[in-house]
Amino acid sequence: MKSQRNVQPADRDLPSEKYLSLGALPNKELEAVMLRGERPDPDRLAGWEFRGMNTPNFTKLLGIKKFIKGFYKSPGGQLFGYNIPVVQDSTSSPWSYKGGVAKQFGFYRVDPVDAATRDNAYLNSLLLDYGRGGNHELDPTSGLRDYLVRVEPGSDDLMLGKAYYALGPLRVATSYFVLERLRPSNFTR
Amino acid sequence: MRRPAGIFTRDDVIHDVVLDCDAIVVGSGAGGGVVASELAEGGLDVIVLEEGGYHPTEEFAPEPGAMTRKLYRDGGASMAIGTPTILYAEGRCVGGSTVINGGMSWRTPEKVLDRWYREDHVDGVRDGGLDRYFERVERYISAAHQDPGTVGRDNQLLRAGADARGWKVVDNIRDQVHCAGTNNCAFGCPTAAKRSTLVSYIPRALAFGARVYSDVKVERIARAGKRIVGVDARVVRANGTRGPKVTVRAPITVVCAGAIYTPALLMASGIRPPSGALGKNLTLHPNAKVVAVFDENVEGWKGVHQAYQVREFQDEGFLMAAVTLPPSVLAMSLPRYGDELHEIIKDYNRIVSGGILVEDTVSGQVRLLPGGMPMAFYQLTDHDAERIVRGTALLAELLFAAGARKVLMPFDGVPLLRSADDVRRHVYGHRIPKKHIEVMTVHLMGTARMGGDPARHVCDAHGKVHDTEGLWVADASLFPSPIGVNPMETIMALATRNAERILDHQAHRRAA
Amino acid sequence: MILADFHFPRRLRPALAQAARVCCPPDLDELGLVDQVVDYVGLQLRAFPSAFRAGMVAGIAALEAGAVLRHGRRFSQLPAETAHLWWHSWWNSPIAPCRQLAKGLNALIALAFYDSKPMRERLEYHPDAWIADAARRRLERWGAEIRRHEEALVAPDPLLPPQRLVRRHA
Repeated sequence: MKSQRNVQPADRDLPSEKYLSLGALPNKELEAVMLRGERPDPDRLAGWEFRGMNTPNFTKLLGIKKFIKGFYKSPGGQLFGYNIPVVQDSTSSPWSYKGGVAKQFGFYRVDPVDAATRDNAYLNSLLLDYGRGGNHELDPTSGLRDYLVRVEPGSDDLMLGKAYYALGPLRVATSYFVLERLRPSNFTR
Repeated sequence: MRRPAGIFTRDDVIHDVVLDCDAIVVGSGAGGGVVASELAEGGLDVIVLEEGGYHPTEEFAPEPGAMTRKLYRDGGASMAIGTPTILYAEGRCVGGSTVINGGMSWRTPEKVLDRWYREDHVDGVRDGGLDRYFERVERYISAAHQDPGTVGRDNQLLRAGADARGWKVVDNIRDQVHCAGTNNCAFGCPTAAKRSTLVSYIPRALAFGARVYSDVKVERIARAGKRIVGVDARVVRANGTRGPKVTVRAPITVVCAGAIYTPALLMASGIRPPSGALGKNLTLHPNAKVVAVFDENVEGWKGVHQAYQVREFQDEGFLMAAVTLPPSVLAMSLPRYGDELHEIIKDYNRIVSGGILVEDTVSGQVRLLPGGMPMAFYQLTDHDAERIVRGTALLAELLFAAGARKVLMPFDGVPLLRSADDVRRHVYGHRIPKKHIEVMTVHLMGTARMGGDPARHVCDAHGKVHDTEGLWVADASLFPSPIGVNPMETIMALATRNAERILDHQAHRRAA
Repeated sequence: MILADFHFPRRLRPALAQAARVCCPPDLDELGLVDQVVDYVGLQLRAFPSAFRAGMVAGIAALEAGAVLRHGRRFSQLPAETAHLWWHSWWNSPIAPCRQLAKGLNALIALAFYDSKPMRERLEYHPDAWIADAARRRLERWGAEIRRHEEALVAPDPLLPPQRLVRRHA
């Protein structure tokens, strides 16, 4: 497994106002944004990392309010992605790798949603399937299923996601999250 | 009588059957007939499933009882629950409600299309966006004015009354090829002059290879997750019981079962678009009738069903027309019995019955009752009730201006009127309770409304049902709002547009 | 066409006949139309939804039996004037189902009565002859044009340009 452990990047972009406002919307409005959103273009995600923010307040207590998601293509051209833990400081501060080093985990496979499968909550989205990300079978992140939509037509710079957890055939919605394009990444696996 | 090739009835399906095709069309009326024809001509293998029977032109006769049993859902006894209860009629036969309607063919008013764009984000319909679809439909249904000499005395008196009042009147445009004025529209046109889809789009669909199964009721839309894979249907036996299964598999299903049965079918199939709007937004253009007796011989049945519309009050949200019905149908609709009823009906040949159509400002809902039967719920607002009262009062004044000697209003407790003064004395300024108003309708709309916002609408602007794959709607349930005019041509234009989008997708997919 | 396997209960025919006498003018008896009207109503009920039909039958049964409490006899056995009074009390009843039954039943009876051939004759309503004549005149005048329209109806004119037409699969 090849990985690239990035040191703390020099990029210190702060989150945009649009990003923070999106993250502050109540769930009812976030749901409407999910329904109205467009499917992101996989080719415009590959090779990039995005600052991520879970919207519910309780995620701060769990230490997962802020995170980074990245996307890369496998040698066969399939899009995959990963998560990186981030320092849990204020959301108006830069997104900094925890411990100063990028530690990829919680890998997922990215595909358009297949209407005929169990994971078909939002046909207008991309599915981030952690069950097919190549994680260890005992890795709890394997139960995650995220849906991702563009918030602004034609642009993949700002996206909204909704996370579910698979418990057998059941799917339990856990939270919404927002992503904003952060920096290029040359991570591969 | 030989059936056209491609039409199958209950007599042809005696065992369970499984069929495959490219596209299923549920319903064969203004929406289904058009979609079937356009998709078939576009190269798709199309199967139409129609709950009602196949009844060719030769079977149509001026026999209300027999024809309502044959052509109308539930013998014409359908109603929306509310105050007042509103009777409505739906066709249930090959050709759907186009077989029993008056055939008025109006383009959607521009202000309605503009409203649909602004409030519901329906792109591409305003500023002439629907014109080429209207033109195409008008060609196939032969939308045209009546030939001279086919307008009955009832409609002439309507016009005379409107002219006397200085009110705007328009000549009706109807789907007809040299209509002879036989005035049997509500029971099937006996000459095929009226171009219902039975004699226009369905023959066209058959010519391009579509198959039509009549007496087959679709009970459920079959799905794999959110992907629609076909339908499960049953033959409807002559006594209404369920016959052999008809399973049809296809990647495309277009539901055109009308504003009551389209949402009912989707709900029964577990399809619930995320907006929560399925079944809601039911609008229905409430109608009320006025009966006027003249001294002269009218014989309104010798002339076209409806020749004119009084459009003077269209901005207030209502239209007026004259419609002669057979004496039995007129009698059953009047709130009188015995000698009091006969006192009116004995003068049948001197009667003009007029009606108003109101563009409603409220909406109701279709729900599924336990057991799966759909029920419409609709509560007339005070505002719409006041417009019904005002509209019928104005119509009564028009009829007195044309020479009527007495006018019966559609309100319990209002006496027979004998002059325009009586209208002012007994109607204007009186609060007529809603439960005392006799209301009916033949236009049901809105229950799978289209629009650009999946959070508010059931379908997108081309009738694709949100949050499904392979499912479209193409009937009046798409309307985001009532349209204030007869809806047939709007349904047909939208159905044409939706069919074009389906074909476009298919062409793209196969090219990819 | 769908007609349920329903037969109007024989025991309630007299009640329906009495209702017909109340709801129709004297022409009903003059022309001997009572049985025809009762049969017609029974036939029409077969086309109605089952709940509606059941409600009608139950309502007629209540109309028939309820008269015993008020007038000492079943509705079908009441003299004409009393039968009218009983009917009128349902027509104007403050109880919505009674009112609805009276109005619904009256509508069916009126449909049956005025749809009968003898009453059409009395009203001088002759649609069959009118239709036949109008149809003949139409064909004489416009026959060729009508045929041209029928031919044009099935002429190819696809929505998409020919090069984008979908090829049907086998």
